[in-house]
Amino acid sequence: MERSEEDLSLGSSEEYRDEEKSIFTEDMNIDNPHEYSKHENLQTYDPKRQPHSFFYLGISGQIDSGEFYDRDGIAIKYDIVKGNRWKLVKGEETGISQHGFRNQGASKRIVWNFPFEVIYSSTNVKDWPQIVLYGSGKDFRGREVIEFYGSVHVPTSPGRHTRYVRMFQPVTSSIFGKFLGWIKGNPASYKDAPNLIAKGEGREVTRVQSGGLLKITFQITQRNLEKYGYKTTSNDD
Amino acid sequence: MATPQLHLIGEIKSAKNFESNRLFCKWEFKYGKHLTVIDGNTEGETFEEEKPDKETAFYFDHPFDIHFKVESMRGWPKVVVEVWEVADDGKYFIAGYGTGTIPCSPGSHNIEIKCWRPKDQTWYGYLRESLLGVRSELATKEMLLSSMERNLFESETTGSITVDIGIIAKDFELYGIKLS
Amino acid sequence: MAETLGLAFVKKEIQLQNNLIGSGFAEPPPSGSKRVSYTGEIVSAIGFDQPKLSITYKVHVPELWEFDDYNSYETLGIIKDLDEVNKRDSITQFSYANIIDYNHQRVYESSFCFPFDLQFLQDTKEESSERPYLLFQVNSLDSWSRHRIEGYGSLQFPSEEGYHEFKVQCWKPRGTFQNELHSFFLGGSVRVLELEDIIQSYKLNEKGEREMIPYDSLPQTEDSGEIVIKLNCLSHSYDLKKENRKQYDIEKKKQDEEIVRRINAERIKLIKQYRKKIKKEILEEEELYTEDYSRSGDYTDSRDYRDSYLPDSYDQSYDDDDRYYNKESHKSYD
Repeated sequence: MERSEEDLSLGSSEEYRDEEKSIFTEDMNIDNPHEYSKHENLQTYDPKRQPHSFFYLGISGQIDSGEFYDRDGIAIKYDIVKGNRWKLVKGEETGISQHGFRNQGASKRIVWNFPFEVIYSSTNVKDWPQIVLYGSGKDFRGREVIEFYGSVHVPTSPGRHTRYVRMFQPVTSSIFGKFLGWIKGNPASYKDAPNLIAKGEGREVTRVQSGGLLKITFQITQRNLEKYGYKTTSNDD
Repeated sequence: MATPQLHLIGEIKSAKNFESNRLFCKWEFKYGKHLTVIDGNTEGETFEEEKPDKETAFYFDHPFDIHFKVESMRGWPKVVVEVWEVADDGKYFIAGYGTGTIPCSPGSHNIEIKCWRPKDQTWYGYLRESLLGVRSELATKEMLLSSMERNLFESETTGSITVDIGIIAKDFELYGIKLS
Repeated sequence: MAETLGLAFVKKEIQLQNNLIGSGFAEPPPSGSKRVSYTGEIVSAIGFDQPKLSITYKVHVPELWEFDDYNSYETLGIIKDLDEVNKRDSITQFSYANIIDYNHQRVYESSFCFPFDLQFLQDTKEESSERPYLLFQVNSLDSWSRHRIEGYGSLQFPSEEGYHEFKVQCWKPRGTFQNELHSFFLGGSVRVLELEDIIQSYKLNEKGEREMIPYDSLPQTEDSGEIVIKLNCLSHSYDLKKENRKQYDIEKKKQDEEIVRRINAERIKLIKQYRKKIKKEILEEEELYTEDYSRSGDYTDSRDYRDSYLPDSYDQSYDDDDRYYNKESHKSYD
């Protein structure tokens, strides 16, 4: 943050005249500076103008490995679902890994080591991001079919975390009929499907059977959250 | 300066050491009179999951994201859990009740809730249980959260439920509350 | 998205959010005292000899601490009944145990999930290291309905705020051979009469002085199981509130000054640019205006400027044309 030491005075007349006020935008005509700092956080990031800006959440990690019972040749696709106040600063929200196969021996473990890295900025902590995962394999015709899904919240405290996510297969699809319809080739409803899984509504009427377990490692970094008054960890006291 | 706010973000993660192979869990967050929910569901039901015998645990992964407004130190939320098992013919029986206190220090926590279920002491109850598979339930759930004497009650221990929870607290220090 | 909508919309949203949340909170206790709240539960008992157990607990309050029962704002917790709060002693249900693996051994575990909710008022003017205790007595009931005592334990409440998990080790008094025989066949055990005796380390003799209890008068004990307790400790004090608010105000003031400084810098920059632009326009206009009247374009424009600039030894022959055209207002160089 540079502080310019230029001459900030106006010269002969200290005040600006009335007719010159028209050049100011509405932003600069403020009486309460603290209110200004709050609203401008909702605009684009400008470090020279804001003493404290959005808060940032950096999510990086990798999808390490997984165990599916008898299945082989699974590719994992991830999708990050968040509230609408969160804005993507850097990184990609979706990604598809390679097809992974088991070792020839007896171990059931499939290893992908598929990395992801995203940075988000926001002003409000609600609707914390979640990662929704899909596991897909090739059917006998060679088409990609999504069979498993799972979701987990991104951890809230900074540092390194490991999470185990269960991958499910729906047994009877009632509310998931909609979801399956998307898989069969209905790209218009793509936007709804991740939210459906991540929200957890409508789960009481479905029966599932477990398909496997995935291990994900997260590394979380945060910036500016204390300036907003949020405390996410008790480690620095 | 706004009232302190509390965010609970996490999942109802898993159920371990239950005998049955088909379970689902009804969860609810109970909180005191001076807390108000601004956003989020405080109760729900997870999937009904069927697991093969070789597995040791059920994983629900049921997400929740709740935003509270806290006006007093009293009445910190607790999570109340009811685990139901499904018999082969589709009837529902209780597999456990449990309560867990939500931690007050901000950060990521993993809570394990040990569950118990009521046990019939009489011979009649024992016969009913072993021959018909009918179990007794609690008629009123008030006793789960109350510290009134329970010395005339008998229960048996069943499995446990784990909850992965992240706590985010805002502005508690400005009102003189120390959380950690 | 909000950024494409105007400032008015955003201000309204912020106002709505603030109205929804408000800024009220319970009053802290008066300065010099601190309100401490312990909420938690007795989770389970591990490693005892009998499977069917129940736990009796009692709260012991030292000097400088007292129960905060009748606080008009905060008395109601989760259960809307005044009896639930600050229960001095209670007893859990009888719970039949499960067998689990613990520390590479197979032991009994009985779960209770018995909540407790205690609120104290601590006097912080004097320094003291005494804290309240939670005293336990573990009872067992077997299939022949014989009652026995399986252990005693105590937990000192923590001084640090936050979420804690404790495992309270318990001991069981060991009686004589006859006592043990009686206990095995008919039930009953050596008992400690007052639960508070288990944390007493001194007693008052006839003169009223403190004296250590001689170890011979205490019963022999043997190791018993563990009780798992999870609790939250929260505290509320007026002094902390003042201190934190002071810091917050200082930072806020710094931030406001910084915002004002930056806005003024931007404004001044804009004004300077604006004024330069205006001046340039005026100069260009005057250039256009004076181009008709001057022969060479090297002269500057305004008459005032020329008059003040010209030295005394100026040659008048250059101004012939001007004098001709502007007789009235022309200054004479004579």
